[in-house]
Formats: sequence, C-alpha cells, structure tokens
Amino acid sequence: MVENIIFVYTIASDLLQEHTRNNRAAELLSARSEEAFSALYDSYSPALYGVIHRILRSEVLAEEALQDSFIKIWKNATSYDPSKGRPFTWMLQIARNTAIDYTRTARFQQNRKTDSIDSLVYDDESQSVNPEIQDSGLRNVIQKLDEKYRTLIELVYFKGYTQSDIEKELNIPLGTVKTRLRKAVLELRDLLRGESPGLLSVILLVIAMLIALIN
Amino acid sequence: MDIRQYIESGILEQYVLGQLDQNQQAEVERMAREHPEIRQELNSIEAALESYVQAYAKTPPAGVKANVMDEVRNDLSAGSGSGGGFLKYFLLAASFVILAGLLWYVYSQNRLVTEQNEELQIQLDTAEARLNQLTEDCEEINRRYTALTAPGTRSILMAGTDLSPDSRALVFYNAEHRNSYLSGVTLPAPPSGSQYQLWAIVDGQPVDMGVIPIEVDPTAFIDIPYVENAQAFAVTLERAGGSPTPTLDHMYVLGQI
Repeated sequence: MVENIIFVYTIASDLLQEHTRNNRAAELLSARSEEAFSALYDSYSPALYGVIHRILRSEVLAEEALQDSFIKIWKNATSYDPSKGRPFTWMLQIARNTAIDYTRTARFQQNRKTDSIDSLVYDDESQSVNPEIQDSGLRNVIQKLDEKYRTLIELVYFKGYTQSDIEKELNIPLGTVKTRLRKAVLELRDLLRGESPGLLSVILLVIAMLIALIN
Repeated sequence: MDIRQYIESGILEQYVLGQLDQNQQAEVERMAREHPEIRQELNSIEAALESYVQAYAKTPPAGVKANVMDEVRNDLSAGSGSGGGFLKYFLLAASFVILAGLLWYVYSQNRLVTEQNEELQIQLDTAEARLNQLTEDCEEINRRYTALTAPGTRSILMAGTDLSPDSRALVFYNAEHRNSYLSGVTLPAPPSGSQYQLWAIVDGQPVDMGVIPIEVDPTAFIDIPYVENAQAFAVTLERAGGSPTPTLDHMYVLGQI
C-alpha cells in the first residue's frame, strides 16, 4: 500500500515539477543575481552541455561553447519573452546556435573532415555513453523512436540542417521533410506520454492520499 | 485559417527547431498569441524536444561554471551589482547634496540680488527725483534769465510808502514781449482775512493785476498779467481774495516807470 502511494506520488510530483520548473527557470532568468544564475547553471548546464557536446563532439570545443552559451544566456536574459516559449527551449536554442556557429570554425572543420550522418546517428552509444545520465528511462524512450525520425531530429537539432540540406542529404522532397518532422515529434510525444503521467495519475494520487489518510 | 490544418502543417515543429526565418517566426508567435490551442501545441512540442535533449544530458567540467560565474560577477559589479551599488547610492546621495547646496546657493544669491536691487531702486528713485527737481529749477532759472536778459525788460522798484517804509518789491515789465513779473516781494505778513493786491496805474486809473499769494518768498519770480501802457505799479492791502478798487490809504509800496 505505502509503496503504491509513493509510486503514484512520485509520478504526480514529476508532473507538478514539470509545471513549476518552467516558472522557476523563468524566475531565475529574470532575477539578475549571482545566486539565481548559479542555480540556473546547476539545473540546465548538463542538458545544454549534452546538446553542445553532441553537436561538436569535442570536449575542448564543447567546454568553450558551453561557456559562451551561458554568458549569452546571462546577457540576453532580459530579452527572454515567456509568451514566446518555454525558458528551457529558449536556452537550448542559444546553446544550439552557439555550438552550430562553432561547427563553422576552422578548428571544428579540421576535427570533422570525415563526419557523416551514419557516424552521427549510429555512434550514439560510443558518444553518449555517460554514467552521469540520470534518466536512463528517457534514453530508452529515445532509442524506441523510429530510426528515420531519429535521423531527422538529429540532423535538424544537432547538425543545424535546414530543410533543403535535408532534402539533399536524405534525398526526400521538401514537403515530405516538413510532414516527416511533424510525425517525428508526434511519435516522440506519444512515446514520452507513455512514460509520463497524465490526469489519471493525479486522480490516483488523490485517491492514494485519501487511502493513506484513512489508514 | 483552419487551426487544425495549421498545426498539422508542421510549421510549429519547424518553429521550435529554429527552422524558420524571422517573418515566419513572427507569424507563428502571432498565431500562438491569438489561438491558445496553438500555444498549447507549441508547448507540447517544446516539452517533447526538451525531453529528447535531456536524454543526452552530460555533466560539464567544473571549470566552466567558475568562468561563467566570473563573467556574471564582473557584469554585476560593472553595472548594478553590490559593489557598484554602494558607489551608485553614494553618487546618488552626493548628487542630492550637491543639488541641495546649489539650490541654497541660488536661493541666497537671489535674495541678496533682490535686496541689492531694492536698494538700488530706492537710490535710483531718489536720483530721479533729484534730477527732476534740478530740471525744474533749471527751467525756472532759464525762465527768469530769459525774462531778465531780454533787452526790452525794465525793472521797476516799488518803494515803501510812509505806511511801511521798509517794504519793497520789483516788477519786471517788457512791452515788446508783453509780459511782466513780480519779484523780491518784501512786505509785512498780512493780517488774517486780508491779502495784498497788485495794481497798475494807467492814465491815473488803477487796473487790477490780481492778488499776491499770502505766503510769498522774496526770491519768488511770479508771472503777472500784462497791462498795456502802465505808468506805475502799487500794492495795497485788501480783504482776502482782492477788491475791485484799491483802498488807497492801505498802499504799502509804489513805483513809477
């Protein structure tokens, strides 16, 4: 019984956290204080570093790009508009753009002359095996994503490919790129939904708490 | 536009993935503002991709944070940080003090200037009054000088009669310019209710030339009516305001031309 309550509670609190996390990130961004930014760094640097590292695949370059990204986040925090999107997405966009800018430098080009899509998509394990990933469940979900969708997201997200780049690279028409991108995200959402709790869980939590109270 | 169709088009995914140009981005943002379901869809897409990215999370080397926080601290102390805060407040306080001092200085200067101004105004008024007096005096002197130096002017001394041997007065008579003046009036003070009156004698007949002011100074130079063919002048004591005919036994001075 107690285990059930704990289980349901954990799921529901995740859901709640997801809501408050956004507000908290927005607050930390707008606070303009050392403490707030330090907290923001602690919360989001692993995710941003993960993205940057995945794009640049060099410790040295990724470190520099991460540093640049957080300095940009600090300097541009006042221009973040919560009505345009979630704070994490906004920060990710800065990190991605910074890293993609790095890929255009001579230093990156030297390292990556022989880079290919295959290596990008299929060297997942070798590149990302990382004892520090807390959420192995999330990784499993990503692995379940249809390979063609994963390729697409990876190209767009981690290589900064434009649609016409993809059209050339994968040899699929522009219209198809667009719809496939939507399907990719939809499938991702479906997979994640299976992982994360819905309204039912909240109802379950209330029931669980009631039971706990009665007991 | 059909919202469902708009969502299905995949443009929102492109937006979140940073695939749109500025105009298209602004369009999506506008649509999201107008339609909550689009905002909701964007949120879901963002959440999905955030989760995707979270799968690759990797703890960065510790040195990076130190560098970032150094930059943040620099930025804060250069701008509105705690270090700069003191300076900011100090400068703010200092500027208030300076401003207050400046205001006090301006106020006291203004008061001083106002006082000086009032004093100067008084001096100016005094000087102006004095100038007016001098101008009047000068005009008076000029009037007398012109009258006395005119070649046709004759001076007739009216000497005291037996009634008052010490009395006298002068008449200046100019037949060319047809004007005459009374001056140097030296007569006993008239008893109350009476007044001296001046007469001209024409062919043995007295002609009224008006009364002499009761309080008259010997230095006064009085305009008197011109009487043609006057042969003599006399002053008699009459009742206040004058008489139509002279009381001859009250004649004080008399002078022949």
